[in-house]
Amino acid sequence: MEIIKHMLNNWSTYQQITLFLLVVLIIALLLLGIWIFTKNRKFLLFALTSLILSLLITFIGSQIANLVFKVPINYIFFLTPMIVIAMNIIHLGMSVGYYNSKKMKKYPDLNDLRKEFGKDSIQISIFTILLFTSFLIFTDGLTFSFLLLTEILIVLTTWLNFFLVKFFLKDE
Amino acid sequence: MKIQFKFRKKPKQNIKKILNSFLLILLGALFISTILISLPLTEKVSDKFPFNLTTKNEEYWSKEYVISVNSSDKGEINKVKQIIYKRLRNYGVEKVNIFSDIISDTESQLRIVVNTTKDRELVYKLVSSQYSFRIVSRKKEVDFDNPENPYAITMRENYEDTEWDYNDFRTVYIPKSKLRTSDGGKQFFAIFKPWPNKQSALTNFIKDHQGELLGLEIDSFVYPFQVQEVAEDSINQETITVAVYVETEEEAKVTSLLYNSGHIEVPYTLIEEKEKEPEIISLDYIKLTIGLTISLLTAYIYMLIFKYSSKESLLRSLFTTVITLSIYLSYLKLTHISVDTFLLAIQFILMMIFIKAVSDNQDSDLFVSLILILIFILTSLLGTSLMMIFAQGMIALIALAKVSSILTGWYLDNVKHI
Repeated sequence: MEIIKHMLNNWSTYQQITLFLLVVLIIALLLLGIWIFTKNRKFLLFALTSLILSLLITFIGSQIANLVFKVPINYIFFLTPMIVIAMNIIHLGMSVGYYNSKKMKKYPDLNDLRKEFGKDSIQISIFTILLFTSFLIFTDGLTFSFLLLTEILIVLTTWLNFFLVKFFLKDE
Repeated sequence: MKIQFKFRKKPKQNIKKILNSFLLILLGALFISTILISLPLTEKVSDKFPFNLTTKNEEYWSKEYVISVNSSDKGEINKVKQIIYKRLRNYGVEKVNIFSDIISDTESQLRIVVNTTKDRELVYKLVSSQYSFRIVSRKKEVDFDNPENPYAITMRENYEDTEWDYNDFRTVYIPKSKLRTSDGGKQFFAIFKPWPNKQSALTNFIKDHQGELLGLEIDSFVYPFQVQEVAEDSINQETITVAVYVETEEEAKVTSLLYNSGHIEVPYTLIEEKEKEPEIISLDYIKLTIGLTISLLTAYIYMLIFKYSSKESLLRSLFTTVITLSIYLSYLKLTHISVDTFLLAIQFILMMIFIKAVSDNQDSDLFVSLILILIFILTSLLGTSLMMIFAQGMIALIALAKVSSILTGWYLDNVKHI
């Protein structure tokens, strides 16, 4: 809660507004992009839910780190939501591309899309775990906590997407 | 008897093949050079040309500035905070924290904590200058040419107010490079652009005072300037142009930030400066390079063994990754740009995943690249200082990845035919 209190008490209105605007514009831009590329409402809803949940998970994750593991959340932790969002966009984008390539079919096979999504989730998880771990072994203290938290959140968001896709993109 | 010359291939095709081979050799040499330059410790090979990676680790410093503001109004305090934050953020100060305390009915204090690698003097200037400006005219009774009082031209009491001050100008533009002066030298200039509804009034003001020596008062100090000559029938939208007495581009940027980040109306004074222990996130980039290389190769071997992608696709994305990161690192090394090794490592991890993702899913390339670039542009405009630095690096890396992908694609397609 320290960082939230600090943002509310010490940040100027300008800082608060720009950060709020940044989050809103990122969500709007991603949704606009998905709509332009897929023209599919289910996809749009799926992306919106995924993005909001990833932000929520990031918030809860940093709170748990702060309250349970006593990790002081400082300015470098502002990068965590950015990295998680960037990874989420890469993950969602992979499925947007796949869907886009198949949408010329009269009945695009959503089962196929879900399988592809699972494959992408595995790939992203492997890369994230291996690359972040190679980084983690050379760090300690706050940097270690930041990287570990970011790594866990990326993997969590990736697999959350995998379950969301099953829920949102069902064959009719 | 007829003699016939037969060419196996047309001469045009031969020339094309030779040219292709030549380009392949050139590109291959470029790839090898960038990889060698980017590798850690290769700078030790040459004594003539230093190209080691400059890290910010040693350059960090931290300070707390305490300023006293002559107001206890929350709105006014908030505005002072906002403007000082904007100045420091846009200058690139990595960490800025501003805390406010109301001391009495007429006074508040702001504690500004910075943790940065930027120039100390310039950060001090951004924190301590109110930079309230006004155009002033000379009092007729004052003798500005008196050799016994050479500072008369800079003293506020020797001038009278005109109707022109900060409220009347929408922006003060300072070109990035120096402009030529009338005596043949070069200098930075500030161009004061008025609000559209004030343009004709300013043009008339300039016409009325053309050739005269006026002054620009900034925080009670006057910088004299001569108003330009304007032809009677001129229809140009005239602006006020004043010399800026700084030497470097960085100083000119800071002056521009002081003019354009907003106007602090309540007077304030810097009352205290305290040195603090800087927060440094340093990483040994040699160990890090080894770690990242091993992890990247392990991830690709895993993909190859479990057949997540075709051999060709894996080779392409691995090659693109290596070339992108090598070119970026070589550029940083050769230009001696200081970097946060910690941020660089995160950027590289994201790029490794990004390149693998888009080379496997060509259909998603446009969507992912476009959205990521737009989001990083937004972040560099609206995010905190650290987010801005991170986002700018990511934009450069994504653009570089696109170029590298084209180059490596062409190289791999053509190298097979030799």
